[in-house]
Amino acid sequence: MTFRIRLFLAFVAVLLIPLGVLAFGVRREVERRVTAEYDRRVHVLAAVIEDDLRRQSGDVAARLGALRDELAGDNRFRLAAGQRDPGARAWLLDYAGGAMHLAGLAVLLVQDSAGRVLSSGHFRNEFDREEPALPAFLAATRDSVAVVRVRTAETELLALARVDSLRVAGRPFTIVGGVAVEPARLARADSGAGLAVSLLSPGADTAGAGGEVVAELGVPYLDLTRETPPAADTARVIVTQSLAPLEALRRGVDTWFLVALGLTTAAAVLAAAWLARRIGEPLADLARKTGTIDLDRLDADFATDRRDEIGALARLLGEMTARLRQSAARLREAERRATLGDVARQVNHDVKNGLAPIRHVLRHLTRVSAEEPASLPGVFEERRGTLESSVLYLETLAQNYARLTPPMEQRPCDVNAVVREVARLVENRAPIRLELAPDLPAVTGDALAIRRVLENLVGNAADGLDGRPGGTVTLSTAGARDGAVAVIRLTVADNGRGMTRAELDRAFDDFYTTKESGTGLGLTIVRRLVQDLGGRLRVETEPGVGTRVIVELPEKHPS
Amino acid sequence: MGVPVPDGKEGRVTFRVPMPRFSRRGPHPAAVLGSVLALAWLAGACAAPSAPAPGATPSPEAPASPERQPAAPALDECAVTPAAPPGADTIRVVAGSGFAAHQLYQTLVRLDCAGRLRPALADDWASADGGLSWTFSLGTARFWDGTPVTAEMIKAGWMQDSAATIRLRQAGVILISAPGDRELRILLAAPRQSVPEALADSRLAIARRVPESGWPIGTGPYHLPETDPAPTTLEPVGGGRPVRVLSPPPDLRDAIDAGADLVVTDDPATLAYAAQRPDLASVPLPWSRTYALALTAPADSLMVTAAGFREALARDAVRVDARAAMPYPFPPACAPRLADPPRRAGRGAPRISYPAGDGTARDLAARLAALGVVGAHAIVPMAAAAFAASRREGGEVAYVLSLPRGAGTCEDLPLPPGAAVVPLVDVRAHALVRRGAPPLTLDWDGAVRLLVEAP
Repeated sequence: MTFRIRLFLAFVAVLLIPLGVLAFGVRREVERRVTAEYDRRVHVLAAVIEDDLRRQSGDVAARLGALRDELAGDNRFRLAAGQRDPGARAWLLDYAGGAMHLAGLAVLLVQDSAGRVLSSGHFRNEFDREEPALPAFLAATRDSVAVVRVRTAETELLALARVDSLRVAGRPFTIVGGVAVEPARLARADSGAGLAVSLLSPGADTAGAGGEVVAELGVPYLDLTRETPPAADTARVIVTQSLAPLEALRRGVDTWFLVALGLTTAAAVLAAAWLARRIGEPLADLARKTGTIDLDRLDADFATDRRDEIGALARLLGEMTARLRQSAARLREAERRATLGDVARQVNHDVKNGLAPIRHVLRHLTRVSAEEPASLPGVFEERRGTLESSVLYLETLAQNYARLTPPMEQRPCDVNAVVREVARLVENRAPIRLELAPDLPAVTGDALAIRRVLENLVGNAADGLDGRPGGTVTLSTAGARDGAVAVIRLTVADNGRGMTRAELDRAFDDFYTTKESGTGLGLTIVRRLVQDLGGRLRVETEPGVGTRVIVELPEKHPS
Repeated sequence: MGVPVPDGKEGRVTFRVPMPRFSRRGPHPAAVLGSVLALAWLAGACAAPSAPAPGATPSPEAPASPERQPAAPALDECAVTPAAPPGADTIRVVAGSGFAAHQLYQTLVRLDCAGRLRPALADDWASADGGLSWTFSLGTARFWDGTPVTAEMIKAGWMQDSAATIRLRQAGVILISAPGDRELRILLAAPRQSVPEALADSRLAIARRVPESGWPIGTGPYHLPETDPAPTTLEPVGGGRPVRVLSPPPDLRDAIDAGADLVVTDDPATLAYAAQRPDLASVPLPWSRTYALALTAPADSLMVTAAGFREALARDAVRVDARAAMPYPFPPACAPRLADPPRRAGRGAPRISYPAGDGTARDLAARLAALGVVGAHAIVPMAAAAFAASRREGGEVAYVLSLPRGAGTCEDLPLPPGAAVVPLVDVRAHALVRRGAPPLTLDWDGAVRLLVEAP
């Protein structure tokens, strides 16, 4: 799992969990409060409806009382209803219509004791119809709210009705009046809170009321529109609550939660990316630099101006690298000194080996001159070869040891020129091919050291050809980069016998050689010269295919 | 009762009777009496028009002889002649849209309130060939500009008017000729014993178009000023007071209070108010409309066919002046449209429909619904065409029609095709005449014609 993903998950855990808890809490609290407010409104609305129905019923009763008094004193009614005067009948037929409108009623009926309609306001031409159930029903529900469904000419009408009675010419009459039931008008008290008021006839289903029934009020009810004889029943004034506002509130909370979730996620992703870039990349850079460190490459730059932990780590690594450089220098010095000791012992051994024949020859000549002086010239001539070969051996040995400690100069050096010169010197030993990069930058260093490196490598390569047909030594140069450092790459390749893994492991050991006339110091010298030049050396070889030795020299010596 | 006293004018009778009072709902004979009583305060009065025999066409009894007709009866109970001196300088009238045309244009003959033929442009007529040919004498009739009316002018006027030619064709007229300037002859497709009533149709009124005149020139006692873009002011041709036709206000009682001399209305509130005014007389006009019930089911067994039921409807259900309907004189061409209705299952609750805006039709429909006639308990306003469409779908079961009495053709009647039509009540309007108004006469179709006052 990457550092970025870990950071993202950490942000998610830190931000989203509290956010989710907050959203859940807000939603639950809002629902609780809204539900409580709904309950309060429902109770208020139910009380308002009941009070309004009672008040309307009382108003109807008051208006009927006024109409009753006015009708009882009207001689035209006395003539028409009491005396059955045909001349006043037309007035009576039209009476209820006018009185109903004047009294602000929606229903008005004047009936005789048999229930026969004498005058109807809401349905003028229903006169002479007998409706005895209506005044009886209303009389039974006197002083309470009652609803009747009556028929007008065009439609049906629900009315909050009351009844009153009067006596004219010794005959009883009833007067029924009512106002239209307007649940919609009551519902205005709802104030848009999702509450609705409906009046349901007996047996009507509440499914069509459009919400959950939260309050209910029973009202005596009589339906005069049926063909069957009317019977008293109970209608219901119901208050329904639409869940739409609550659902809208929930959707609103959820929407904002999702918006916050989206924004938080985006912020977490951005923050994780920023922190990963701010922290992860410097760590990766440190890891890469640290990975390049070895005893030969201790030039990694850990310099930084960061003040945080990464800066401290970089500084620690830089200090560690510096200490490693010092340790490596000391190690190299110790190694050098150890090598010198080895060399000294070897020199001692070799010199002794060289001097031993000479000492033997000198002892022999001394004994011959003492014992047989005449034969001394002959013996001298006989042992002269031994002396000369021993001297030559010592001279050669001296030359070889002289090469171990060459002086090192620091000046611009044309590597291509050195390559061409070395190639000329060895071209009689093996076919040479040059692949030199044009415009190759100069290298600051010792041209003689570079030449010695090349002479050793080319000599080894030529020896490695073993006279194979087509054997070629290829010398190539090229510019390259080793990280931030510009280097010149020298490659000496041959298609000779190559080396085994064991041979390669010991190739750089002092005095290790596979050649009869070798000293075993060539690659040791090469490695140390390259190191002193600030460069790197690596060998790629395969038995039977050839060997490629690659030397990378910095353009500027690190010192 | 009043005693008829000739006032010296030929063909007119005046009554001097006491006690003018209008009774809205009196029975039909009483209405006649009421109308007579209403004119008691008038120096001249008229008798209320008596209806012709039920189902009779207006004119059968009018012509006495098929060969030679009297020009006019001796008595005219359709004339109203106030004895009071003329009132204001201008006669103000509130009446229907056809009032002005009745004063401006005349037909060859007219049908008075009793359905009798009266001379108009033609002062005499005679038949020949057993009633196939009729010749009309034009007398001294002139247009407003003094041009004598000739037979050729009448013939040319009719031929140039498509409505007139159609009406003539419907009346069976196949040829029109002008044997002389003052003699017009028509040939019928079938012989008739009386003058075709169609000649009294206002669509056959005589008019002459003059290029420089905005209105066709007529032969009536009034003419229109050239500058009057609408027929609102009528000038008398032979001198007298001009007539101003007023737009009816929303409440016609306001017109009465504003001093209108003549108001034609059937509004019960206005008539009741006029009955309280001593300066007004209410003259009932002829029964001009019949309300009938168009049924989608056979009506034989329904209570609507009972005479007592129709009388109750006229008495209690409607608020205009009404009577139980007399048999309606459907033109013969209507018979195919009055076939037995189809029997279809109703769709939804059956309803009785009525023409929107017609209060009398609504009252009748409401009463029928209250009684559950034809099984309907609700009413709905609806155009006749919509009813026909709804009925085809099995919807509304009945429709209350308003039919003009004396309609010339079946096309003039809003009859739903294939419906049984049962007449319910006949209704009429009243002319409210103010003291000092000009004399007037009443026609069979309810038209009120002002007579030129004597100078």
